[in-house]
Amino acid sequence: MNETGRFLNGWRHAGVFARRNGALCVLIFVLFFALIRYDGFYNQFNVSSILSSTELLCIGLMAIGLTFVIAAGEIDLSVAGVAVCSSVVAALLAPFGVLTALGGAVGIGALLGLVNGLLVAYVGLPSFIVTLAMLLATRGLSLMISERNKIPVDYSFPLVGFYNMKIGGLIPAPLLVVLAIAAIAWVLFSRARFGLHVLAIGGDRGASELMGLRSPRIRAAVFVITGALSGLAGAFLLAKTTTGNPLEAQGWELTAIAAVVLGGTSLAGGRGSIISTLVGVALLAIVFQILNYENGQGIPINSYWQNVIRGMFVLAIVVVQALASGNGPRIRRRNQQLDGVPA
Amino acid sequence: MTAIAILAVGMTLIVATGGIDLSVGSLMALGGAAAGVLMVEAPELTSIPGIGLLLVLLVAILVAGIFGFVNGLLVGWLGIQPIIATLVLLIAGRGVAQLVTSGRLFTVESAPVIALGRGQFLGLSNQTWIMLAVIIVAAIILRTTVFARYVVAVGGNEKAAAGAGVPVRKVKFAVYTIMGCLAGLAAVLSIGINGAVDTANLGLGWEFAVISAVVVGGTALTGGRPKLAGTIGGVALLQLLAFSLASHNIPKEVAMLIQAAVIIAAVIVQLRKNR
Repeated sequence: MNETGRFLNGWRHAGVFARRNGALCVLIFVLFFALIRYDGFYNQFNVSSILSSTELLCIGLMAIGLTFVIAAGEIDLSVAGVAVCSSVVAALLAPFGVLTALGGAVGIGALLGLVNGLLVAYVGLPSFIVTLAMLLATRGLSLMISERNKIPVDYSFPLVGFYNMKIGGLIPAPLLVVLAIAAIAWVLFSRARFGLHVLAIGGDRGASELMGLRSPRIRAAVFVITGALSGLAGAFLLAKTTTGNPLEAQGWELTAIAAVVLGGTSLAGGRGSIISTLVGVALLAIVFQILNYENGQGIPINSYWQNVIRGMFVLAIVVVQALASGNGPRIRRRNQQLDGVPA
Repeated sequence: MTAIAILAVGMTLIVATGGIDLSVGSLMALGGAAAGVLMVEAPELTSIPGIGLLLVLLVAILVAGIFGFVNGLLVGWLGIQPIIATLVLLIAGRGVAQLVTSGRLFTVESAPVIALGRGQFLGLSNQTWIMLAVIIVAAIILRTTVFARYVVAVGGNEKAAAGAGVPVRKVKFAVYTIMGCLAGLAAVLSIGINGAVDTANLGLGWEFAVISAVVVGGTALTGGRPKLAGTIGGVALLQLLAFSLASHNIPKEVAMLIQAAVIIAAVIVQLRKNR
């Protein structure tokens, strides 16, 4: 092969890579954009504040769990409700020690996830409506057990100290926990039988059952995993705000789902990966941080504009993904078929 | 409740095609903002009996309908998952509405709009008449038109429907646009009832109330036959439950738990019936 051929081949590979990893390319672009746009964007304070943002940590944990649920072809709208419920429980358990509080948060999360899982997998209800009801129920439950109060925890509570600990003055300790969980989730998803079973059920449940997979067990399990991770997210939320607030985290379930989808996991099920979810989460976290940063740079972006820009940003990425995967002509052909024009 | 029922009629069509629209609340805010700006900028025009009201309705329905059509484009043309496609407008739509109104609360001076929300005609409130009209028109469309057959076909099996010559994408454009128009209508009704345009709260969080009413009514989220009567029953059940819990001074948090249990129970009943 001559020089030109090798060069062109390299470009073609780059193109294929870009199409398969759209979100990663956008992430790199955004990081680069911030470097050029703002002097000193990557200072210690700013980087550390991105790394310890709730977008990255709490929504990251929910999104990791949601990757399993979405890959199995289901959806979980209750993650934020479960997290808030856990944060209230953890705040109430705080006087009994940090491990009790943490265990309580994760335990109640897993329990609520189990209820979701049983209703979806064994009773056979659609997950959208089950978890929608759970969202309503967990919000009500949080208000009930907190008796409509915000429950403060002391600054000396070890979880708060752990959450605000920065290793080397830069990397927040909870980020390491999230990364460790992401690593375990990656092994479970991409290197163990469980992940393969989840994907098989998400791809075609009937076929996977015919092959002998016990689909109810696995479908229930993905909801328990998400519940437990949302519970941990709730504990982190408590540590961040030092308050068990039943009205916290409104609408986070949709941000978490958006992060998973931005990474490239299909809501249709049967496809997905933990790494792409992490990319999606990082992308959301950095864009939100840039919006805040822009705000502090003398160009005021009020919250209305912020919402518009967030929405447009999600739109831009899904449109790019749709076009990249559809590849122009293929989209046109599919559209013609859908219009009833013979191909 | 009438506004929720009107939205639920549109949502029934979308859910029947296998889609979902999370942006109904934001669509209402957009329609409401347009109506509000019109009423503030041209108060004498919108106070003319008949024409003024018609103008307000037209603007709200048109603006919300255009944004509904955008949802339809994203879902039908680009093939983006409905949840994500409409999530975009859920986040951005209310922001746009608040930008247009600068986040201010407009008091409605226009008498016809207030009358639409609070007035009565032949013993029933005006909004009830409008709700009934929407339901009857929808029922006639669902019973007599080819469009209704198309909706069922798209929700049942998209590829097979396309193979049989159903214009799948146009059907999707249509159902999301209809949803937008109905959201504009519901917005004007709500504005009339409240006597104010408050884009921060107009229709806030209604998407879940509407979707649960549709599902409780028996229309499957996986698409298929639209059950209009079921949807109306679902709206009545959930709204009456909410009202009666509130009127018996049951705390909000307990009411939320009861509502969640009722939704689950109703869906279990639906499931048993369909087997």
